[in-house]
Amino acid sequence: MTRAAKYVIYIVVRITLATALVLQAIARGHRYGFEIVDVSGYPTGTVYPVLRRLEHAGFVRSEWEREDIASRAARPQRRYYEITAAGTRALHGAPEPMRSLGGLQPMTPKPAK
Amino acid sequence: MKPLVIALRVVRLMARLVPRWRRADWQREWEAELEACARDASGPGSVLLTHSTGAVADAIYLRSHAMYLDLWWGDVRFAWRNASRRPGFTLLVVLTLALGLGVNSAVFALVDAVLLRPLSYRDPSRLVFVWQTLPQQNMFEVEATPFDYTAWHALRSLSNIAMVTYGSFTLTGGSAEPERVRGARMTASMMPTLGIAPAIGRGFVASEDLDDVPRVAILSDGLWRRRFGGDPAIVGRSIEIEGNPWTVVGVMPRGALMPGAPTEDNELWLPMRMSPEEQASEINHSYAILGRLADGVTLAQASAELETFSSRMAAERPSHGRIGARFVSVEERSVRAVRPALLVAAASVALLLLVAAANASTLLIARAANRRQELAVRAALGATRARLLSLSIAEGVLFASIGGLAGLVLGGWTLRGLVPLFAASLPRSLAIAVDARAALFTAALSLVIGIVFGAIAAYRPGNGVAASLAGATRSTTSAAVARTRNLLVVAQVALAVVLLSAAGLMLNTIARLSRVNPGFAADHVLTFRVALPGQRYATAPARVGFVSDVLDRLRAVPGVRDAAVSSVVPFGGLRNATVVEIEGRAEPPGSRSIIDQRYISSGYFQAMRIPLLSGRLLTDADDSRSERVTVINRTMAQQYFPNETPVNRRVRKTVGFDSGFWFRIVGVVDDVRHIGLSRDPVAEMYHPIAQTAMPTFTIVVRTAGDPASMMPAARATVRAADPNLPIYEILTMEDRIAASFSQTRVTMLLLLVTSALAAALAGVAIYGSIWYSVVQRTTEIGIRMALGAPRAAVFRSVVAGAVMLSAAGATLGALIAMAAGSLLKTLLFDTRPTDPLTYAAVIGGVLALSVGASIVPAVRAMRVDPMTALRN
Repeated sequence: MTRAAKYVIYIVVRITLATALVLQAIARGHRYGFEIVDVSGYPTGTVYPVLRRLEHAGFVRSEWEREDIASRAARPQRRYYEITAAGTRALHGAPEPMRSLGGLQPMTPKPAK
Repeated sequence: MKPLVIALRVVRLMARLVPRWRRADWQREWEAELEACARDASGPGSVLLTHSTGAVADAIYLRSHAMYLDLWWGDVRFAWRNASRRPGFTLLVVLTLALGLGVNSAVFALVDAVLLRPLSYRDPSRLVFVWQTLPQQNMFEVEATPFDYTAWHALRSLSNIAMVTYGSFTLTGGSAEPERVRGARMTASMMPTLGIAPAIGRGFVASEDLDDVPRVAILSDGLWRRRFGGDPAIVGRSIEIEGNPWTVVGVMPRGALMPGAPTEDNELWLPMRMSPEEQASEINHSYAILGRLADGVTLAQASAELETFSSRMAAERPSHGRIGARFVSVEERSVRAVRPALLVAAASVALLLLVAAANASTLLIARAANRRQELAVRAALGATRARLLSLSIAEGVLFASIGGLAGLVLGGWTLRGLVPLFAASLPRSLAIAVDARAALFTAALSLVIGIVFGAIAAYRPGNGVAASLAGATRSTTSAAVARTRNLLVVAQVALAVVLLSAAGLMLNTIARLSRVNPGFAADHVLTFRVALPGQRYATAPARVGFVSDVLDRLRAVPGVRDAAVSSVVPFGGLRNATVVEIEGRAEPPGSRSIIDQRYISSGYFQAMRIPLLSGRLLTDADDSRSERVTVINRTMAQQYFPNETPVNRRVRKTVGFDSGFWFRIVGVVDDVRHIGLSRDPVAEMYHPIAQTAMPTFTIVVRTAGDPASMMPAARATVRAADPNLPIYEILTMEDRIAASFSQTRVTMLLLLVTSALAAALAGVAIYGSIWYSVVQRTTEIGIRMALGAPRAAVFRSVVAGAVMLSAAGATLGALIAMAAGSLLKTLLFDTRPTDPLTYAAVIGGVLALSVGASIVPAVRAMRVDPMTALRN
């Protein structure tokens, strides 16, 4: 990717810290909305708009979970997200601080106060 | 379970905000996540509630991002309702825009086909002509010799090199009429160099460059279909060319052209077939050389190598003294002839589009003034400026889109009228149509125009909301609107003046060209070409016999005053130059005396009415038994015999046909313009055809009446003399002359039409603007009249307003036109781009137009009843 192309992507998709972390979480295999919320440490009000933006930009794609998996867990089908090739490229092209700032929190629900 | 119920309620509530098309999915996603979260039961219910607040943010995010498009779609629908409520107004705006967009799509299709599309060769940008140059003679595209072709194989910057020479050939045999077709003889390397191949059969092989192999030929697609009915078994069939049998080995694909002959389809592709002696010729400069630049080599690098090579050649070879060489890109050369005319065409329609858009803007502004109250209500209810702008742009885009659609139809019609006008300088097989590319271009142009003119129409200063609501008729708002309108009027007048002055300059050029004396009487002359096939007319006496027979027969036709023959005629597109030496004069080494030569029958000068200056004309006594003689023209006499009498001097040709014989100059005739009216005469000499009987020649017939009406008689007479001869290029001399500056005339026509349309639009704009200002100023005029202003003064002030506007526009336009005049320069003849008379006439005309356009509003102003005006 040329530098100009990267620059355009950052302007269009606005790779902010939150965006980078959400993308990273998906890249590491965290697929569901709330799971991403948990590992990224951002509230749903931040994560979901970011997901919409990433999907619109073609960095992630989403589809419904397979029905048998959901029924085995006795819950409705969840929507699951997956990083695309373009997303992977954008993630690798992100500025160094954003990649190393991937201090993802452990996948445990935050204790309620 | 209670937190889950609350969270789900939040989601359901927020779902209403989400755009309808993704609402169900959205709700399902959130519900699934919340339920999964609740099932995990790993946290307290407040987590669920916190998470559910994200649905609010998510829904608002989705809503706000869908909002813009939804709103804009609403604007478009509103604009459409508005437009359909006023069909008359809509039609006016749409037609104005369609006019501008239509001519643009037509000219785009033309420019696209000719200038923008790559030639149909492999990697055409790498193809070059290799021309020789004679800097001393000011000649920079001289054809090369077979010797050079062989020598240039050593150039490392070329990966391929090929040689071609053009000609025309007589097809006979079969049941079809004898026919003369254009063709080219080429080396076997030609097709690989161009990167093309026959659609059927094979290309030429290297052995066919020599003349000791069987004769083979390749047909163009057009010739194959026309003369041979698209015979699928054509390969292997024998056809008759110049009376000899040739075997067809292939058919070219449709649209395959030979570079360098772009205006004429090349119908016969023949192998070079040279003898070894011909292949070694160092002096026969009649071959075009084509090369393909080797990979990675730039034109500059290649030119440097060629320069070194040719200076070495000039030093080593006496035949190449002072001869240079240069590359000319094939792409450059194939469009060079039409490019200036097409660029002027493109510029003129672009200007017309601007005028049309400005005009449509003034119409929209005028309507916006009527809708002032509606817009003010919208503003008062909280519509931001951005919303009002969006509405106006939606309107603009709507009008422009309909205009664009109508324009495409209009463009198709325009193109149908336009293509024949350019036909003389365009390849016939070029597909020119308003196609998908032109449609895309028109769509993009409509969008841009729609946005721009919508934005212009939306422009109005802000603080007038309260005043407009109050129903005030005069306010700062309307003054500012008037200013915008006036600016648009000035712009339209300026653009119209640019077009009008360009048209004026072209008109001037045409007038001057028509006044140029070609040096002979061009009226009442019919010309046509005849080619004698090799076998029946193999000997000179047979050819001379035919010429005198056919001339006698022609002179006997009622309505024919005179008939004569020349190998080439003025405006015939051929020159036939040779190199001569003058007896008793030592030529400095490397200098060449290049003279155009013509072979004529003895009555040619009388038939063409070319006056004799000194000595004598040619007579029937100058035949093969007498001394070889020649008559030269004034230019040759002045150039080569400046201080002496040329008559009785002798000249000798050093190259080509009958070189080595001495010709005695017996007379000097006046110059004729041979190449074009705008080109200076060249040095010429005329030899009697009875001494050197050429096999192809042009017959000129001077008629008593309309020369065009003599065509059937001329054809019948030649057929009576020999039924197997094709006669071709049947044209009156006046048509030939007209064709020689057809491009100039087309450009003038186009400019006349576009400038007339632009002037009409500008006139309407002046009228509208002045009318509007009179309506606005009704109260003021009433007061003035009540205070005693005479009606004539009111009339004068209105007309003066219009004149001021157009004077400003005309001045601006004239300045732009003078600055841009260089674009026209190559098309002008004997006319400066700053010709003051043209500009004076244009400006005067525009001022008169503005007076005319303001008379009706001025009369209305004069009739304002002070009492009524004051009461309102």
